[in-house]
Amino acid sequence: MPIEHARTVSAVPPNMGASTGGEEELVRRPATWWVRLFGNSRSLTATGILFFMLLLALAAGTLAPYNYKDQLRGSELVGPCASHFFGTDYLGRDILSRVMYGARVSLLIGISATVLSLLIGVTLGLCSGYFGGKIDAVLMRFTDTIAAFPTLLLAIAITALYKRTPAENPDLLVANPSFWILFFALGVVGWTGIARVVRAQVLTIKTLDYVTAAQALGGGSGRIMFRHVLPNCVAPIIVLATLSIGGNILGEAGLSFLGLGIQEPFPSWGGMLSDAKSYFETQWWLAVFPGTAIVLTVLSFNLLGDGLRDALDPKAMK
Amino acid sequence: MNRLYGVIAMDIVCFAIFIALALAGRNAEEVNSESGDAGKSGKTTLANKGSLKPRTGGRELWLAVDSEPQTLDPISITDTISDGIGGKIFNKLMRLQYDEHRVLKPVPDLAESVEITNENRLYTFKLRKGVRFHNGREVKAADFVYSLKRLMSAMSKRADLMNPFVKGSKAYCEFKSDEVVHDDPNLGIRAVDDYTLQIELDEPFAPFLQHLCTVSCAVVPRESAENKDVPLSRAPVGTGPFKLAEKDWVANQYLRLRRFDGYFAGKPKMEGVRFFIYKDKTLQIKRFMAGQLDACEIPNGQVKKSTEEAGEENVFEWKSARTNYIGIGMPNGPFKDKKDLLPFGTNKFLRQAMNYALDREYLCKTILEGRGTPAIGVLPPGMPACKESRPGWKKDLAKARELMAQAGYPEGKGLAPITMLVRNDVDNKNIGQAMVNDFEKIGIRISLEAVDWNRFLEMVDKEPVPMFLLGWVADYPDPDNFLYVLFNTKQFNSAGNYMCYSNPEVDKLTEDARKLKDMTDRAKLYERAENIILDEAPWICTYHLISKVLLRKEVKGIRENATSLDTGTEYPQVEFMNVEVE
Amino acid sequence: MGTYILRRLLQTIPVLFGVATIAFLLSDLSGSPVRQLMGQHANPEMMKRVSAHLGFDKPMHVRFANHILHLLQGDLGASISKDGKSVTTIILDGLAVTIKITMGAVVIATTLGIGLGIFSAWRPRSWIDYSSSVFASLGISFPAFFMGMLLLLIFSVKLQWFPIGGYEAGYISNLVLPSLTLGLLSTASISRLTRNCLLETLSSDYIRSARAKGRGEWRVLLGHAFPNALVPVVTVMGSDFAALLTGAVLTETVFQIPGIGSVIAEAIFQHDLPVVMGCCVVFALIFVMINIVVDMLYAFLDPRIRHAD
Repeated sequence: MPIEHARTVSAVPPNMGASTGGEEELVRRPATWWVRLFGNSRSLTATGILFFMLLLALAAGTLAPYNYKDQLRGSELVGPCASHFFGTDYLGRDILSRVMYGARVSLLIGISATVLSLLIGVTLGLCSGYFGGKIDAVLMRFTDTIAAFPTLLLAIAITALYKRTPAENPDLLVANPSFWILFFALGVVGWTGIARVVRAQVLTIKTLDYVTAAQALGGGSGRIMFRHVLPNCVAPIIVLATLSIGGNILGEAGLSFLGLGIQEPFPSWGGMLSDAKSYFETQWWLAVFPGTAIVLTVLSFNLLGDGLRDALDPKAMK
Repeated sequence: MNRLYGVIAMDIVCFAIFIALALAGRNAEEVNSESGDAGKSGKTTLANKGSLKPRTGGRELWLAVDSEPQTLDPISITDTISDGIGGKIFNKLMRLQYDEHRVLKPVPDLAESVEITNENRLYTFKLRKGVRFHNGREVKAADFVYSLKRLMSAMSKRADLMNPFVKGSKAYCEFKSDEVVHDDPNLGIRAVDDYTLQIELDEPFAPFLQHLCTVSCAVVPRESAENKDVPLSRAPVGTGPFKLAEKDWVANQYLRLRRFDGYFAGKPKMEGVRFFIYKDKTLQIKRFMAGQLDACEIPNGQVKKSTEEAGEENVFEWKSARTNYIGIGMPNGPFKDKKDLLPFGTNKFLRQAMNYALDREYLCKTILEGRGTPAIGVLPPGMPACKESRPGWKKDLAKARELMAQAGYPEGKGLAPITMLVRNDVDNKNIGQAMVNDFEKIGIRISLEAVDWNRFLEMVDKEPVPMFLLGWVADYPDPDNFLYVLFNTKQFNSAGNYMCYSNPEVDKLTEDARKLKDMTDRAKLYERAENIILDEAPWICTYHLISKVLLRKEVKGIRENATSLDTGTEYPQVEFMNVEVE
Repeated sequence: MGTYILRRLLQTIPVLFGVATIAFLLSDLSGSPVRQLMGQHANPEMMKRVSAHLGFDKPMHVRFANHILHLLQGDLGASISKDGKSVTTIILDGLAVTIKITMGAVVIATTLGIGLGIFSAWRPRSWIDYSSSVFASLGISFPAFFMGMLLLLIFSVKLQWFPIGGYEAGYISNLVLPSLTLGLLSTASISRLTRNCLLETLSSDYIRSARAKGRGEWRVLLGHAFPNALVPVVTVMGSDFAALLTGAVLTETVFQIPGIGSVIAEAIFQHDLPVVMGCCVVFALIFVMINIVVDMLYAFLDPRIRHAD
């Protein structure tokens, strides 16, 4: 979600995007960044949790005790017990199973929307920074416009814009049109931070000797951008992307909470929370379990992002 | 160091602004008038601290509504909340009242009497004398002529109440004019003298008096209606028992209606009514329990709990004239080539099978928590001409399967999945899910398509959709409002017949019935029409709504008078004149 | 400085125009508001008349030009779903409420965030630092509405300290939990940023010399390091303030607060084009203005930064 984007992006220290080290430090990336990443207990835990969530999402079909849409008549609103670890909802559906299936929506949307944001953000940032001048001015005003737009509202408007048609095969997430709308809505609003960071990075790298040399040798701009400039932006991009996955998961939850999420009956964590709105005081399990799942997953992405930033930070070499 | 102080100073300034702003809107008068009284409910919890004091004294009735009224200009009112609030501010020629057989009938309100002549086409109203608008001016027949013409203006959203029934109304509406109302000698609405009004219809139309009971037909003073600075929609001026000053409508917080001492029928018993705007029903119920509301609706999942907490004596339930249904689109008329309406639109047995597969008992008992009774037909119980002895449909899977085989789809073999349109809110989606589960058992696979209300209407407006979940509460207590409006071929699409159901016999019966005057004669025709409709099943009738609200037992005058057309705590049809809080 | 501000102000014009255009396109393409105004069943001819009366019969570019012309004159138009109520009034009513919550949130976020940040930097890698970092990570991982629901559950339902939501002008108790929800979400990023910047400053030469002069630890931390570390913090606070306004949508939904967030969400769902456009333009204006103020503060706090160009 936009606001989360703003926050997570701003959590990156300012030295991340701008010039910090010299050329050598950027080029000679430490070979053992992953040792430093997983030497950090927090990153390790985060990665563990994420793998666990991924496992849940992939194997929900076999691991879940019930199907997500099974309505067990007669056991509506049962609290957590031996047969339903997380309880059941008002239609008698098993919350544990729904939380497991819900992981699919959150992870898939979080990651795919980030990929879309990356595609837009990196391309625009690169062009803006590399070409400068009028192109830069126009692209940056465009970025400002999107950033100045209340982004959650932009996403709401986009989701409201499209006709929400049900899936031919409701069990297959990617065949669900509402999935693509969410993907698109979150993807096209979340790229502004990425574009700005990439642009700043390019502006620094552009002035370095080897780029000037490549230009003097008559290298095409596309070639220079992708061969010389882009590789040096990879570190901040990876960090931003990891953090923005968390942001997109929150965004999906927010949209679902407002009733604009994935079509029923496919469960999503935000949608489950939205359904729990009028029950949560008496039937706390309806809200607490999906809510905790969101917090855990987003927390893991954020911790991993922090860990990656520390591990990839050239300063850590000193 | 200075900069640290700077931040601290900024914080203090922000905090000071926060406090100042937070306290800014506090209304001194209210604090004074309410803090002195002791809470009558006695349930003062810490949660009320620093907020609204518990409901006190017996002077004002405190109600809750889900949202602000969209408008209080009668000609624009289409939602129930505006209807409910407007109903306290305005009067019409007629109003609805139960007769000795507990049948809702139009009785004169601002009219003293009504005479129907010329083969049921000429209505002559004798008006009450001495009725005054909130601004003090007396109501004359010319005011009714103005108000009803205004109802047919381009800015009106309810012109359909007059057009095409009133003589010359079609031509009047088509006339392009810059004025809100214009002169038209051919229009069948005229003032004979100051206290006599005549309305002439083109053809006899039995429910016309019921139309006149709608709040949109209220009388408004021309001088206020044409005041551009203070529009009626925000500062309504009517003749009703309560009036609303502009300052008493606090945006998004509440509307405070005060007693109109010059009301023609005497002084209302209460000093006023306040409508608090709480979007969330959970919040309303908390306010009720804390003694800060006199009535509120019960949200889903809270019926049992809130009944226990509030006590049976504070719960009020009544039957609403509402039927909920699954509509099934049919390839009739201009839509005969629409492939997606097959096979449900043409195969009667499939639709009948759905009728027997549905577990209405479960729906009413568990999902609705007792706020519905299994549907027995199109007309809800309590509606004139409703045959309450109809058996309805019991869940019978064997019979449903048999019908499926008869339809040519044994166990659903060869049947493609179908889409059902539902409104995008939690309650409707839950009900839809539960039904989908029932139909799956006989092999009918349905997936829900949840869309917001505006789009829902746009989608069903243009052409029939394969299946949709909807309900209909009567505008006026006449079977015409169900059987003609929703099933006649002339009412295709947005006018009401969203299924595009068409049956010449039903058409003829419903058209004939609206020309007769006597309800017993009409009821016979309606029964035949309903029998045909139930057999062909363009509707899978699901349940009739039972409205259930929390209503403090100290409130007198609502329980006795709530009608089947009231569905929430706005009570549009209840005369608030005699309501009081003890 | 003067020309810099002027240039920044000029830059906002295309941004505002862009926002207005996007808002118009999105709400216009998503459908006309007329349908639901007419009630569940509507006579098609009547609907056409009302549509025409509201100007929806004109082609899209004419309507767009109309809106922009009015916007240029500072006229935000009239709401459709609220039957002609002035959009300016609607926005001002909403903003009045939202600004209260946002102010409260800023107070909470800065006090808590900077405080926690200083403590963490005072003893880096200690339990204080560690728990504050966990707190920070948790803070940015909470969906605003889930945080709100939990706070309601704890403080309103169980402890009954605060009302369960809703809003009446003039009472602070209604604003505490929403402010806390929003505030806690930004506390996290501010505290981490304060810590990191403080640590970075602490390792610089002039701090070392201050230490060498025998200044007390707290004196060094607060008197020398903190002011310099404040620069990036101010930037984040600025962008957070704008983000808080956006985040208000979900928070206001949970707490039933009639702020600008609820207003705009409702307007989008009702396709009330003038309100959507008005809100977006006002939002963008606030956002841009805050950014300019933040940049100026930035220059003021760090004399090394001069906007020469």
